[in-house]
Amino acid sequence: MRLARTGRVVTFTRDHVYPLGGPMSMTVVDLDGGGRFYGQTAGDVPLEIGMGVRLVPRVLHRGGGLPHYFWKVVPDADRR
Amino acid sequence: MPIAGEVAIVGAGVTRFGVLHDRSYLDLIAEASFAALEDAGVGLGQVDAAWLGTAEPWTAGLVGDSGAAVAEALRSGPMPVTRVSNFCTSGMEAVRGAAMAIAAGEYEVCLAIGAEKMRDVTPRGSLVAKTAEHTHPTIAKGRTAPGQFALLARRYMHEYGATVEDLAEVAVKNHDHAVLNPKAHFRKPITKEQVLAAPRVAEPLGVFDCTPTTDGAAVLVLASRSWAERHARRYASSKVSASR
Repeated sequence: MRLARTGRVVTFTRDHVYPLGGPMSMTVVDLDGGGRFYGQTAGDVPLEIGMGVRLVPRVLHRGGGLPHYFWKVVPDADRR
Repeated sequence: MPIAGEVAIVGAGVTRFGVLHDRSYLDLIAEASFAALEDAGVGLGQVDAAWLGTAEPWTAGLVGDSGAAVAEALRSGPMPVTRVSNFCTSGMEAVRGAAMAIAAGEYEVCLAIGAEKMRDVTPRGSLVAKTAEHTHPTIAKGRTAPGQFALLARRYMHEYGATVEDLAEVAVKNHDHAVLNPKAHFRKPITKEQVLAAPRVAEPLGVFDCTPTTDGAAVLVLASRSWAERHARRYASSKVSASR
């Protein structure tokens, strides 16, 4: 079963103690059709609980000199 | 046999909590253990087994990575000791392990030890940096302890209408209690304004909403109910061991 790439914000935070790269924005998403995603938000964007969001592939980190890709959360412009 | 009603707490010992650079990890285990044994009226030789809960043994040079640390700290004779680790619930995990062994009828008297030396780290940020570096390569990246509790706080506020002012009152209450506790780490009262003005750690939580990093140890002496009825000066047992 494929998880949807769209969903709604359950909760979020801006974490100031994450030691690499300044405040870390983390979001929990209820995916459309089932499943829950917990990961980084792409960029420092204002979020609200219930907001429509999308998962997009982004570079998570560059361990060992190689880019590691994973999903990050962005507001879904098509769905408020 | 279930834990509830069948396992008794017959003694307790606690060290002072704070930045304790002059006390080693083994010192803390010894102080809290002997205080608990004295409180219970139990001799070291009467202890059948122990559980040691320590979340971060590497800050004490790997000493706490095995239950052997208890034998070393207490100079006890051969005794089975299990070291457990479950992040912030490591202490409770030690209690749970000892209680289950007693409820199973394997032992009559056990020590449940929680000990942590969180402050022997330089640089200051290395505990969090370690978490960031050693987590799952994708799933846990970006996650910190306060960052996770912040998610719960924000959702809780959304569902129940609580505010950061409500959370601030919890911190004020905790500091008020600490004024009365000679073993507490911080013992000055704080105001709601100070809590709200403090730097944010992981929004919406600020410095005073989060636990400090602290050195300390606490020990419980646990026994079977039948042992407690025969020997204990006083004891407490729980009605339930978990609830939903």
